[in-house]
Amino acid sequence: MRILRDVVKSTDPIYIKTNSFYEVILNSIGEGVFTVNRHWRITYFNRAAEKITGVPKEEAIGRPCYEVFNANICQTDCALRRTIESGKPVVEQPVNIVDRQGRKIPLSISTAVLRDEAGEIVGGVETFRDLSAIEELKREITKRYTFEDIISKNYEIQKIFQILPDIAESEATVLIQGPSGSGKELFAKAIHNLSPRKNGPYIVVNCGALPDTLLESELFGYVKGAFTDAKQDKPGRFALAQDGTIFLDEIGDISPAMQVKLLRVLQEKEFEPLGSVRPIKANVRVICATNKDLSRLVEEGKFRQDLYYRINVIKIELPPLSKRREDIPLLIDHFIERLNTRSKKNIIGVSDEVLQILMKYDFPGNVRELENIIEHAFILCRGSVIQPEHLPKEVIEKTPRLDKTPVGKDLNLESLEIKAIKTALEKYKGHRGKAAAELGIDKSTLWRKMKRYGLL
Amino acid sequence: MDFCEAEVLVGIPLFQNRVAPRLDCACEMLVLKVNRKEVKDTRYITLNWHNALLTLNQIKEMGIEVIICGAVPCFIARFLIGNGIKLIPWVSGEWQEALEAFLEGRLEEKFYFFSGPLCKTRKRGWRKNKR
Repeated sequence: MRILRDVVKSTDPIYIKTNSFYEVILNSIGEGVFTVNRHWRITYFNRAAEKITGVPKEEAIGRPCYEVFNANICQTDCALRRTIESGKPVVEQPVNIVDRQGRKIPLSISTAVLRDEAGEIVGGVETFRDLSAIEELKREITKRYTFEDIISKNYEIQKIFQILPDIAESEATVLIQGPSGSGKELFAKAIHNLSPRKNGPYIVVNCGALPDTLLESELFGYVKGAFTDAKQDKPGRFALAQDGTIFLDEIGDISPAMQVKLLRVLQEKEFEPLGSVRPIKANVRVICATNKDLSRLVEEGKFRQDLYYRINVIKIELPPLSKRREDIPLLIDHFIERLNTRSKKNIIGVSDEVLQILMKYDFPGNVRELENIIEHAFILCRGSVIQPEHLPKEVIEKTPRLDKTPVGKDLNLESLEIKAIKTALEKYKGHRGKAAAELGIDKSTLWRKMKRYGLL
Repeated sequence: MDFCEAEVLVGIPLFQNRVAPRLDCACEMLVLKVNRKEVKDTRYITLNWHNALLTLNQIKEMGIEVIICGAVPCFIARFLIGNGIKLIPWVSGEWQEALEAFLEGRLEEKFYFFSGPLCKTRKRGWRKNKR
């Protein structure tokens, strides 16, 4: 602590020499270190601190620590303040900060007080470690995703975000409809996490993956002796989801017999395990998802109408990735970021050509397919930018030929902008707010451009 | 639309007397009705980030059109911009200073929309010039 205090205070040449020696040491470690004075102004900021926060030392020194560090605890429960007030250090407290790219970075922080020769507290020191890689792995294992993991600036998705809290608050059954890989489970999890049942269990059942008989015992459980191999009672998923949420994926794939059984649970709020005659109350929120058009299945007589109305109390329709192409660059960056964290590679992004290919590709497998494509390219990429040769062959083959560079009048930026604005306005029937959101610019910018190009 | 000329609701999340360093952790927001570069009305609202989506929807429903704030996570930035709210992030300093700079168009000059893939931002210049 004395070293740091010296770094902070002394202007004596001997101290400066010593300090530069210690500064080399502090700059060589992987942990971020900064010190503050009694007015919470930063007095020292090491190289790792610059790297983790993305703030250069010159910009950090002299500013209030909370305006540089941007941790979630800064405004409500500052660890340094607690340490300086109580004299007690904080060890390995998990927090998160927001970096210059708006990303939340999980950190582990420790704090201690700085004293002068007389023992007076002159400030504090905070050290911190980047936990991104560990947290990423943890999330990968536990699949603990939140609505903040849904990456989109698409208007339709933003509209869903607006109603999501109300949906979550209610007890109504939700039907999430969307093609495979469009993120249905992520939305189901988000609803659960925002609901009053968030502390209860969240149980996922893929109805399409199990044959009828197995599905019944999976959902409702069985009692000892129900069938030859039933040596003891086994609770079903509905029982496990008690006071929580059950997510029934691929609901459109269940048989008519199962549909009847499910209808009973939804109507009566009770079920009977296989082989039992005693009904069990089910206090469970049900969220269903399908990649099929259930209303059409009802028309075709393949899905019970009464069950359809039971599960279709609130319907969320997720667009395919091909209908939200503006999200493709966001998602590419997100996946690369995640893979960089996991693999310790440092890939900056994709080349313009790759982006052009991906923007034109149809993504039958939606976001999941994009994720796989990026992972494939990431593995093959040895440089810092993903090039077309790193993409899977079928993506290149299935992508419509890239446009040649526009010639003559169409080449200038102005005509391209006019074209983009017109397309967006047509798409949203002249609604400027929605068009601006689609174009990724502000309403006022759109208005200015429309005025300039005589589109008003 | 010139935000300084028309009547507009400006939200500034607060921490003590300063622009809150982080929007999604601010407990309080100052909402100012501004017309022709003059503050016509002010009020304080409480922010509860326990349910971020609910809070964001409330901000939107209140009709706030501009938010001057410090750090802001991507998700929240995308939500606000997607709902037509003008976001001026990475502003630090006393809120009166920030408002003054906004009304004089000095924040506008430096403003950078969160339109890039990873909502890349840069530091406001006005604060540094002050020091």
